Amino acid sequence: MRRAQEGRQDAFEVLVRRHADQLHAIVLRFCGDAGDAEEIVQETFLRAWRGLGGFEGRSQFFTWLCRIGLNEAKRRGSRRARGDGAGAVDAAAAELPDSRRSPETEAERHALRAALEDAVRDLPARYRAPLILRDIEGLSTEQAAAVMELGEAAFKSRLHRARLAVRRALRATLDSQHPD
Amino acid sequence: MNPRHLIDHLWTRPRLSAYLDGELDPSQRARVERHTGRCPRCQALLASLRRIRDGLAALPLRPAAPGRADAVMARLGRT
Repeated sequence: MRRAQEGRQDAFEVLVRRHADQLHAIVLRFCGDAGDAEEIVQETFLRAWRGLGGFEGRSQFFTWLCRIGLNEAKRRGSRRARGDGAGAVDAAAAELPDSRRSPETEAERHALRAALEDAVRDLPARYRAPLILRDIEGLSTEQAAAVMELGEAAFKSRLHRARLAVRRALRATLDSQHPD
Repeated sequence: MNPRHLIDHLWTRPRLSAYLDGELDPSQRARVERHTGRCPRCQALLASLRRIRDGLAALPLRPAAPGRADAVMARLGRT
């Protein structure tokens, strides 16, 4: 890192090779367009390279990088405009069926996977990001909160609301699998 | 719903994700477990949150692209 900050492109390349694919995975899930995601990844590293001198190491390099990437994705507005949707998330939803009562078939698992992908894609950005960072990509709460510039308590609350939003979105799919 | 159950219910529900993620301290964890043990609605919510969290974690990983880092470095070289 220090050598990269001194302007050594070969040192920066090590960081690019270490982080490019996971950054791409996060950005792609966030913006939903493969072409945009590649461009955003390139732009993110370009901005990081130019801003590296100002990186003070208060956060991990990767969380700093993710923050730049998600901000760039938002700036481009590569997704259709979305409503906030926050008000609806707290409303009590019907309970999802307990899978123990009816073992999932492979077809049901496939349908659930597709429904989860759709549900995350359709969430407002403020709920999409915590699910991608924490649940899908497996960042720690500390890392994901840092990316989103939230305190850990606020991040946990946001993550919970995001999961509730997914639960609401999945009701139709799961009810059709378990009509009882 | 008696008042004590209602208080525990309202305290427990917003903490079920943190419980699931192992991020509550022992006394909070015990309180969640006491309540969910006798609240079918919280049991059902916990089960569905677990299913969602585990389902998201099991989504297929995006394959790495060997040329991605090269493309980034080429872009850097052009600026």
